[in-house]
Amino acid sequence: MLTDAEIMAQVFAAFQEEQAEHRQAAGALLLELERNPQHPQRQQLLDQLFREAHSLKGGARAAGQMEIEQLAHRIEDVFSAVRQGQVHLTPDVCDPIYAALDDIGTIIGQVVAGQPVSLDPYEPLLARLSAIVESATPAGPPDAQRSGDTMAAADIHDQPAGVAPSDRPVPTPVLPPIVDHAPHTPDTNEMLERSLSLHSDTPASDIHTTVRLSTTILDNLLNEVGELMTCTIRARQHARDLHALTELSTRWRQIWRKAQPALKRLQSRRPTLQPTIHHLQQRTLEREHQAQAIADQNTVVLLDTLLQFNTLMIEIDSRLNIQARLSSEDHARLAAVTDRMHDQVRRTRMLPLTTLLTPLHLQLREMARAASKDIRLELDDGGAEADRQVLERLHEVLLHLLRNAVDHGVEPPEVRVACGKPATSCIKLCAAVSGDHLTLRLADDGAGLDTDAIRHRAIQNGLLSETDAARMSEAELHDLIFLPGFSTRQTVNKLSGRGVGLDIVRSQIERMNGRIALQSIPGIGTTFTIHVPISLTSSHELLLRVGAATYALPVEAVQRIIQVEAQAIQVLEGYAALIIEQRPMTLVSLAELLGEKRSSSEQHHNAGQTQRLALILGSGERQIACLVDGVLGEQELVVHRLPPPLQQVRLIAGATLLADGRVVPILDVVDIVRAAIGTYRTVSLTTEATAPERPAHILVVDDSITTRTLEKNILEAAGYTVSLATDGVEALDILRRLTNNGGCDLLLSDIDMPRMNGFDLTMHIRADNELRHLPVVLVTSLDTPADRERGIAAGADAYIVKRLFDQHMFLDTIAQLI
Amino acid sequence: MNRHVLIVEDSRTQAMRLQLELQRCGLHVSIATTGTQGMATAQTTLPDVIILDVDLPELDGYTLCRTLKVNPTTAHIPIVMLTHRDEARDTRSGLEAGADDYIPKDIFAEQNVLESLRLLGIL
Repeated sequence: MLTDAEIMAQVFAAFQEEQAEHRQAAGALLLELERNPQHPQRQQLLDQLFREAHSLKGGARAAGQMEIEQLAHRIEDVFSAVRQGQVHLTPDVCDPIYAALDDIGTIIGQVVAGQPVSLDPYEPLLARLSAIVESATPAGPPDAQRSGDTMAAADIHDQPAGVAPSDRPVPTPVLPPIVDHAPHTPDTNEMLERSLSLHSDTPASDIHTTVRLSTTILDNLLNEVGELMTCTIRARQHARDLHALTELSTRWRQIWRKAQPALKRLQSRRPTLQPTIHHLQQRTLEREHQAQAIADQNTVVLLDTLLQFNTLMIEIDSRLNIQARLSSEDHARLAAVTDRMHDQVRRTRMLPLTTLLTPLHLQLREMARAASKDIRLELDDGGAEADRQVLERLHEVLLHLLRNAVDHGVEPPEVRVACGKPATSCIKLCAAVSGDHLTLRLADDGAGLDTDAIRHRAIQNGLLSETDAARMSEAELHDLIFLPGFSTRQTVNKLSGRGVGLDIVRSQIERMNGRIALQSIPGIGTTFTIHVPISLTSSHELLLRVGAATYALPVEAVQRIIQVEAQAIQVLEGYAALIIEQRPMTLVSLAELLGEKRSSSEQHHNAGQTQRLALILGSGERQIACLVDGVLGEQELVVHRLPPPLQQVRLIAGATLLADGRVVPILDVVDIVRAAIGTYRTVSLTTEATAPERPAHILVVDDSITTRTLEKNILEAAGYTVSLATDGVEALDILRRLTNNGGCDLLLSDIDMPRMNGFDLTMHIRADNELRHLPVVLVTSLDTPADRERGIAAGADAYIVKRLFDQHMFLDTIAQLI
Repeated sequence: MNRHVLIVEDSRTQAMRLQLELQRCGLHVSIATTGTQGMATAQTTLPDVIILDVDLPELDGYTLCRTLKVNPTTAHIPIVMLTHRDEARDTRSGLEAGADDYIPKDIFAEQNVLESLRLLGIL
């Protein structure tokens, strides 16, 4: 029997899922109503909105989440007042509701993490929500519903005290006397008819047409299908082996046929041989005759054996043929079923794109408000669906691009009006599926990219010479903004996002074996086109031999495979380069990158001796050539993501199983390109690349022990050395002590702190001759352009908003600055 | 044979909480999440008791209750309605619709449902 605790755990798990749906639905409905107060279905939407809040409240109660119930209750009160026309959905009313919906998510997170939950931080918000309801002005002429409410209120007072839930009396199914004046708009008969006709449309068999499953089950199912696919490939191999065996028996038949004449001759002598033997035994003749007789006897035995052999061989051959045929048939059937099953499991993991896109509305609204811009988002999902995993990754990417569009793409309203554009700008996001690929197009109607600024910036950064820059086409220049750390804007805008550039977006997409392109027309706008597979569960992989090991690499990632001539490899500035069409390209050996034990001189030596294969990986400015020992072929393989703690292994994206049961690592192309370019940088910039590497030292300053510990854990897990300080004064002390002791490589600081806040700390550092070059990252809950501006003015290098905290972005930002 | 309870409730969390509590008492529980689903399940399975939420998609709880109570095959099934907290209007509409008991949705709701089922002779 279930214990109370077990019941509550199960109920909480259900609530965790349910609340997310209600919050999302309520947010989307509210946004729709806020944007379009004259919505033709306003009343229905309001009713639905109310119901979402109501269910949220009820669910919270059932799951024992009193804090959430409180918040949901206040939200419901506001919606109730809105439904009665007493409150209007102005931004002042909507903002605390959105905040409360978000806070419910936060509380759920805390409960899941086992942290204590308190309503204290939410008191101001609860008060704001109550104030909205209390300040509600009664609507004009009372309508039917309101008079009903008033009466209901009166009824409460009329109720006997006995209905209090704690000591309920035996319920009496008696109609209260007030029944005559109860408003009762639709006629009961009419409603009955309606419900009966509804019923006839819904046969009982339709009741259980859908079920809810945990995603882990789907993941496991997919893994099982993966194993099944491996079995199918093995079955194919068995079938082929059996066919090969039948060929052996064919050879036996050929040999037998050649021996036929000799056998026939022997057989024809056989009748004469036999009586001779008798004759011999009976009469005992001379010795030579005896010898002849024994030889003849042996021949007869051999002949018999051979004939028996042949009969056996024919039997084996026919059985083998049957087995081979059955095996082929079984393989074909297994392959077809596995294929269909894989397809169906893949389909069960598909979610409509709308689940990804709807939340973007809300997020865009917030970004636009923060940037004081008026932006409309038009979505067209084209009915597309994609794998859950793809959608999760795309969400991050789209959020980044939207933020980029809000911050850089779209002009402020006054500028737009001056250019003759409507003050409200429009960002369009449309999707289409073709085959097994999904294309997303995100277009803004902003100012477009400033090609001159990009050119200028590239020259300034030393990426291009003036002549190269002048020669480059617009498209080539546009491609530069995908390079790490590249931005044409001044610091404030550059860091307005999460302190990282579009290179992260591109890496994310390339990790999904997709690609991103952009098109920009000055004054008209910028369009990003993203092309990704709709599922990442299987892919065409190139199998490579590196030393004795086999690795897989997604085919899409390989631009081409070339034979490398010895003379095409040169050593430029201390690093190996491959000259292709007169252009040098960074050359790395996969064996070396993967840590196969071979010295680099031996490597070059080998390369000098024989022709070798190189894969061209990456795109645009980041193309590299990668030496491998052999290409074994191409196969469609199921991609298995590695379980924790192996999810973040450098250079490895996952693993796959080959037909022979071998586990083969799948290489991460983005990591390889990054590592190759990184190698080239360290080699070309410093001559002492052999100096032992000290882990970078980061000082974390935060007055909250939770934040400090969280950040410390993340950073240490990423291989950094971490020191801690609780405020600005202590941080300065530690920094000065560290300067004589190896120094500190980066400062990560909160803003609101006792004694000295983050802004002042940054300014002190910038004013200090010894510390002024220290990269400073501010991590804060303050997220307005003014705060950001203040942080940048104080001299911070990046600004990370706690609300948007994402571990990858966090580490990427830090890695970029160190 | 276990007595059969039909819960008609659109909130999965609330439905599950009730379901687990009732199963613990040895009852057999089915769940419908919309009014029309509830109607179909009630008419095809004829449960021993129906626990009915008021605010349901497609077909609200009162209408469903009234419909079941006028249909001779289902009229005998006791119906316990779960109503909004403090809303006397609901109570009245519920009883008017022919419900056998009403229980406000508050922190005592699950206990009160069990109590009600005892009174109705189901438990």
